[in-house]
Amino acid sequence: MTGFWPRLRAHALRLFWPNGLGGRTILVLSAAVVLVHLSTVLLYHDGAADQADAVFADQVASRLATAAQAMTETARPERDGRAHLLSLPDLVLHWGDHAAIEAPANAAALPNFRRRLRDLAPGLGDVSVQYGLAGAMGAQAMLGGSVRLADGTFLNFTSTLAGSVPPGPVHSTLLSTTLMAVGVVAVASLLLRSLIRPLRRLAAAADEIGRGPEVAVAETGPEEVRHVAQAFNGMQARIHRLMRDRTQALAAVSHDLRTPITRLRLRAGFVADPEMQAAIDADLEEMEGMIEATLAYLRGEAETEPKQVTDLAALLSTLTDDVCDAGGTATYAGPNHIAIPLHPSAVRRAFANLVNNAVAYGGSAQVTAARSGAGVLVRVEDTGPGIPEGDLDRVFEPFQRLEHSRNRGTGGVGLGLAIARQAIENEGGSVRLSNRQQGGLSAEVFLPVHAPARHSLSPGKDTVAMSGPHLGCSPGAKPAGGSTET
Amino acid sequence: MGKQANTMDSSATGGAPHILVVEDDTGTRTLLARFLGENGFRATGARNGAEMWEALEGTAIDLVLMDVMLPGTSGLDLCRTIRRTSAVPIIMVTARGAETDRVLGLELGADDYVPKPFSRAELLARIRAVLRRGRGIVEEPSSARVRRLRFASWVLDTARHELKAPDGAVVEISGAEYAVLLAFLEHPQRVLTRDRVLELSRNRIGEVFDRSVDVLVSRLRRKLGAPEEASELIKTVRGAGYLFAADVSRE
Repeated sequence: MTGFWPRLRAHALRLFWPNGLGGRTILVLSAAVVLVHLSTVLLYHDGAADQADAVFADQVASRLATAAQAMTETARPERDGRAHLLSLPDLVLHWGDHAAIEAPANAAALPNFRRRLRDLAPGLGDVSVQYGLAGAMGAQAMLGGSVRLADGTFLNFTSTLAGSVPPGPVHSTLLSTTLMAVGVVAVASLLLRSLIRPLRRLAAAADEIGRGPEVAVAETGPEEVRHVAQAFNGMQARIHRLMRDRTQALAAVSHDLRTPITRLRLRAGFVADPEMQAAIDADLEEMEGMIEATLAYLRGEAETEPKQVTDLAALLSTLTDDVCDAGGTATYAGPNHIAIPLHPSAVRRAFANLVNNAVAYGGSAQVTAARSGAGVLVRVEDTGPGIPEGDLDRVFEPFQRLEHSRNRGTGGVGLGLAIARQAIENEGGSVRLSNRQQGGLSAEVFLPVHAPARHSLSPGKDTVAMSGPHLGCSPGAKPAGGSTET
Repeated sequence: MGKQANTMDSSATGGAPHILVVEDDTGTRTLLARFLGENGFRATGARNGAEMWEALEGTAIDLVLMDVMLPGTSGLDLCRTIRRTSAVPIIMVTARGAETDRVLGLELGADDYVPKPFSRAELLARIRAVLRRGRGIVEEPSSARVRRLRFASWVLDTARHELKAPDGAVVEISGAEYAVLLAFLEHPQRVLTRDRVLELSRNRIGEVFDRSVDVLVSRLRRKLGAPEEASELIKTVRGAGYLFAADVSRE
């Protein structure tokens, strides 16, 4: 059974302990209200009872003392009748051999009353008093008691203490406590909302750090929150400055490397050994690739290129044609014309990276495009070994490379997919990698069409325009024009 | 080295085309001059705008190879100023990936551009193509100074090397496709043999053609629209070659 109570407690905490700061504060406040109220009622109740006790003692005790005296002077058979005669509506008396109240149930109750009674009639024996509620809904306080006479008989009495003892405490206390708690909750929620708002803004801003431009948090609210906001803004500025400095340094180095690389390119031209010359040129090409990839990634969203209605189909088929011209295998299947507003260079780079990856690691690239909902769905598929499922997301991280094969092709810096994702998300689109059931990797890109473009994506007639000599470099590829709708 | 910039003439013969290299990096400038010299050109170096003007006034220059990133007056500004007085061919050297520099350079009157770092073969090919084209102007009217060619609601912007579809979408075409399309647009409604298309295109670009004209035409047809429409624009004339069937207007 070990762990049962902690678990139960945790469960109860989850149930009754709200998550939010506001909820917790209101809960604490409400609990405090209830506590204060209950203790007030108890204290007030005792005080009021004592007060009533004193008044009551004077009024009733003298009458009881008189009645007790009368009992001792009266013969036994007439005592009860005499007691009835002495009764008044607020104090009913009976005589008997037994005490109506056996034991002093609450001996401590009404101490003033009993003391006064003894003062007035020193001859009386034990007095037991009971105090309780009677009447409809317990609205009336009742006092009952028994006075032991000298001869061992009892004078029993009941008295209504209307007005002198506070009315039934439990119900009214519940009601007023509830009302007060509701009031506290209402006022506290209103006040807390304005207290918590700056904290919420702060959390939202903290979540945005590093994802876009600097977001200054308004330095308002209570002093502590204001200080936190100030400290946060300062920290944010420092982080952004650091990122900017690093980015600029990297961009400057990458950019400035072009000059020595240009010189090396020219120098390689004077190398007599053609094999050595080719090797130097290949190395320089690789360096250039790394620099271009780094610069493209760093430029990212800061790209100044304007959005332009572009034919995505022409862009994709140019990419696959280029692969064919370079001796690789790549096909495009889809509409002949897809007019869509986008940043042409960035999107071209994104698809070039996907296509070149497919060719480099999958042996070939099959590119298909089709209308899908409010956008275009482009698939770049290969028939290679794919990627382990666990790495499908990781490969999009900048500077991430899989240990084995995927460390070439994009300049070797591990930026190809990061650049692709950055550019596609900048268009409001998304990119996802998955392993195909029949083997190979599939990169699925969705690009939304924001502005309705005429002539765009006309379905039917040109969707499966697959024939044509431009596919000559890929005899094995099968048309996939109609199979891309999901 | 490089203290006196104007005296880096190569050892080539006087008849060789004279190229003015405007480049502030001394190493690059010297190497370029030597490289061009070894490949049959005469080269003079200039570190900045002032030295460039000096060279242009004192010597007969056949082509200016201009770096965009120059201290002081930028290469783009120099290009614009040259164009006010001279039609000397200009090739801009731009940073790779700087699309705006490329487009701006072409719009300001540069004849071509080379992204930096460039390959030696690409640089030579582009220089030779621009020089060929420069001579071509004398032989026949070309679209060298024409800004836009319109055909069947399509527009080819020759300054930006940009093809626009009737719906306004920019249609990407490769350098070879651009050259072939331009060959057709300069000779509309005329039957061109495959050899003639190849010849006209080679004058246009420096790239080495490793695709047949047929492949390029089929790629162009696909980009120019649905198969039926496009075959109306570029018609195959059996046994003879191709015919561009639309009217072309120049701007």
